[in-house]
Amino acid sequence: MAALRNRLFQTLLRKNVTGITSFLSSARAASGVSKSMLPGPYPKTPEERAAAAKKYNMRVEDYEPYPDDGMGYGDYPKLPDKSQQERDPWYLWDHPDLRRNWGEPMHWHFDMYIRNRVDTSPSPVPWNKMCMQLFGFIGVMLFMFWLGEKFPAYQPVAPKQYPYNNLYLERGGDPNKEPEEVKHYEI
Amino acid sequence: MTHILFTISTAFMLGLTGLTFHRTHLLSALLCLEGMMLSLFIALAMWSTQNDMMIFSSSPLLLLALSACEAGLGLSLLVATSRTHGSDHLQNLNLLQC
Amino acid sequence: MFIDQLPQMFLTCLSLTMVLLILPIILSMVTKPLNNWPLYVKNSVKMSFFTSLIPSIIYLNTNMQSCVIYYRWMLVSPIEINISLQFDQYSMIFMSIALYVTWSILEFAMYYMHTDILINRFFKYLLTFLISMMILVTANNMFQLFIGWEGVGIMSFLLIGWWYGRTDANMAAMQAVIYNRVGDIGLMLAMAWLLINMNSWDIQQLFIMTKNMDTTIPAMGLLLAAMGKSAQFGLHPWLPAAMEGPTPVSALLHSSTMVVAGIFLLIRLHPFLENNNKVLTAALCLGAITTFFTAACALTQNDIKKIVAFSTSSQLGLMMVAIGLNQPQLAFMHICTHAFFKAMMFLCSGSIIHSLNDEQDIRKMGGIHKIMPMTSTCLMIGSLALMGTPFLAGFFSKDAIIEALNTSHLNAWALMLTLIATSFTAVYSLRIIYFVSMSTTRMLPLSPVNENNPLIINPIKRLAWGSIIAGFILYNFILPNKTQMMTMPMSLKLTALIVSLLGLIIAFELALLTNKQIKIHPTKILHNFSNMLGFYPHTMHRLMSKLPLMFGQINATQTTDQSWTEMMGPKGIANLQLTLAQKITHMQKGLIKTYLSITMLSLLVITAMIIYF
Repeated sequence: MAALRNRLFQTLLRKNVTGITSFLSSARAASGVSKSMLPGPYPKTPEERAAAAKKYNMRVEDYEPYPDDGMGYGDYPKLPDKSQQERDPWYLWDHPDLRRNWGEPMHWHFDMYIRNRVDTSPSPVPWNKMCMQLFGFIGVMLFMFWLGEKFPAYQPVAPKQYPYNNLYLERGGDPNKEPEEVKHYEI
Repeated sequence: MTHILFTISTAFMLGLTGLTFHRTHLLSALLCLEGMMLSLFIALAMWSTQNDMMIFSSSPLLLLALSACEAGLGLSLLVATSRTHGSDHLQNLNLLQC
Repeated sequence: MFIDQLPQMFLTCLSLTMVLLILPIILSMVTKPLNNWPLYVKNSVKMSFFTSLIPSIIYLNTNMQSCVIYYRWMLVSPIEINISLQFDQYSMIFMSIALYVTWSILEFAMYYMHTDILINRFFKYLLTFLISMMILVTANNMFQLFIGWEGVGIMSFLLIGWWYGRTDANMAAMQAVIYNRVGDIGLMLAMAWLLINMNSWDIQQLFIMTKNMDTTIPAMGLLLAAMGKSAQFGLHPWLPAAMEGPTPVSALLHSSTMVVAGIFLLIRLHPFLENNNKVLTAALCLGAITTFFTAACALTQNDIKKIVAFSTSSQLGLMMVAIGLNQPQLAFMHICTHAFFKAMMFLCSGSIIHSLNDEQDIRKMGGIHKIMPMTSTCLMIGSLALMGTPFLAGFFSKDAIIEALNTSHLNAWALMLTLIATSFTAVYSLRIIYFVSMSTTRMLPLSPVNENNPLIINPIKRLAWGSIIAGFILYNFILPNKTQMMTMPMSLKLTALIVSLLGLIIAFELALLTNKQIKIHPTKILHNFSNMLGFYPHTMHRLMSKLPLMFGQINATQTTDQSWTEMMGPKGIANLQLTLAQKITHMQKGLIKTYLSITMLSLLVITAMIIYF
């Protein structure tokens, strides 16, 4: 029992875990990952880049880390921003629903580029043209609505005109005096 | 009330004594720490009931929650020492002694 | 003798209407399924319709309306929420019409979904939807209305995604739910505001208390809710996408009943909007742009169900325009008449689709009127009613709205857009008829064309009768609440008619235009804009998901969570303590036990000193 535990400790503390020990160590969830398998700081020398490319299971020519601008990316590779939807649906992927092979490096925003979320497949009309047409249409509509508010449409109206000289007598006017004429229009 | 006060204070002092005078095992220090926490918990619960001040009735729970964090921390330190030093004997914790 | 028993008869029949609908659902949960469950459901709805006719006729005769409080559900004082039903003019007439249309659709669905194994579940879903709609329509408080609202939303999701193995159907159902949810935010805002400020969710109490108040916030919330549920511009893409569901679903939900729930909400809660010019203008402009945009999109669609869906959306925009004109009753009339001819158009298209072996593209249909006379005739009747042909059903409501538009003081561009949209209505109606039923046939030779089934003919005939005379009946029996403008110049009176005729003439030109496209890539910009639905789904669905996700990841997770809070918390504090710890480590010898023991001894000594001195 103690011997087994010692062996396990040795395998856990070793740098390079390969073969059955990697299987065993990975069977203990996140505790089996050695320091060398985790992402590290931004690679500065070409040897570091080669080591990082090997770590991420990529070719040295393909490997390109995120620029070192303090956003915390480290040496994680910058994969092209393509959604899983763009990959060939008829190819025999290891995970057909995810359109991904085993051991392939995952995109930094992999949870955004799954098939249920953002889709970056090429649109039938170029993106800029689409945006321009749609927002142009909305902009024109908003402008015309504003114009319509400024110059509304209504039936012709006229000021109220009461008979009997604007109801002079009913409003308590003097019967002997001559009232003034209030006429806006002729009927 | 004074009996209760005496009991609780004694429990606390005993736990504190156990914590400071531990000899071999780190675990005994942690246990004494838990004992102190338990006595404080009971003291807080008694205090709010004895004085009929319902506003303090949630304080034992707060203490309990934080003491759970602290116990977790202590235990993780224990496990770390046992990983690196092989046991929790206090003689082995002599890295700071030059 | 009869007269003084009218109230009891009224309420009994109404209760019976509701019970007859709920009975099949309860039965399905208790016993094992009956032999011909679809027939049983259809008969229940038929019975329910006839029972609901009695109260409607009593209302039309004596103007008897009622409000029933059944059960006090929650009492979170001072707020009291009851299960209470309101049977006023809107809910009673709508109930009868909805039950009539549902009866016809269920009968049609018995034919359409005949080969589906899960037909029992389909009918159960449709019935649950109908019950939710009834709850929504008869609700007397906002809570019950919300229950009905969510109920129709969820049933719409389940029914659109009926064929859930198909990815397009799943995406359409998801779109429906998400767009409806965005609208629900508005409804919840309105409900929260009303609860906080009015202390109640009872509609009668709300109307009294908000008489002279500034109700912009709840009114805007309700407008947003109607935008979501009734597919106004901005939250509209789910309606054409919802055509992924079976045709009976499209006929019931997305033409007659569910999509009018938003407009019905605005009609029912109209007093909030009455005196609020901002919201009325917003509703008017929104309705105008909806009706124009969706009519423009319908001009170049090739799927028959999508054209009818856009037609529905356009008419919903027209209803919103009527609300923006402060004429809720006209909007309600249009809801009622629209239900008939739109459901009929969907049923006709369903019959055509099944007959052509599930072919939905109008470019592959033609000459239907020779081989399916009844269906194409009714399609023609429906289209004419939609266009507002004088004295068919659509005329009474649509013409009234256009007249009200012309004689009101309103936004000139809204007026223009609505008139253009009316002409577009004629254009796409002619497009459907031209491509589907006229000229020579373009379908496959061995199509199983058969409309001889009474399950198809009877529903369509019934709805055709409704399309013809319903407008007349409703118009004669419902008294207007607001005075309509009766005098206007001849040109204004004939506007709708002239505009529709103009549209018909232009339609012939348009029908020939899309026939002659020779190149692969579309070069006609306007046609492309209209066919791709104005690019609205393509841009919005990508922008609206990518922007928040990127924002969340970069700003919330990377910057805030992993950088700043790490520095404020663990890592920063650890770094600060590190220098201090390093300095102190050199100063002490690490005899922890000794230090602790000395601490304890000092403590004991001090305690002893305090006690004894």
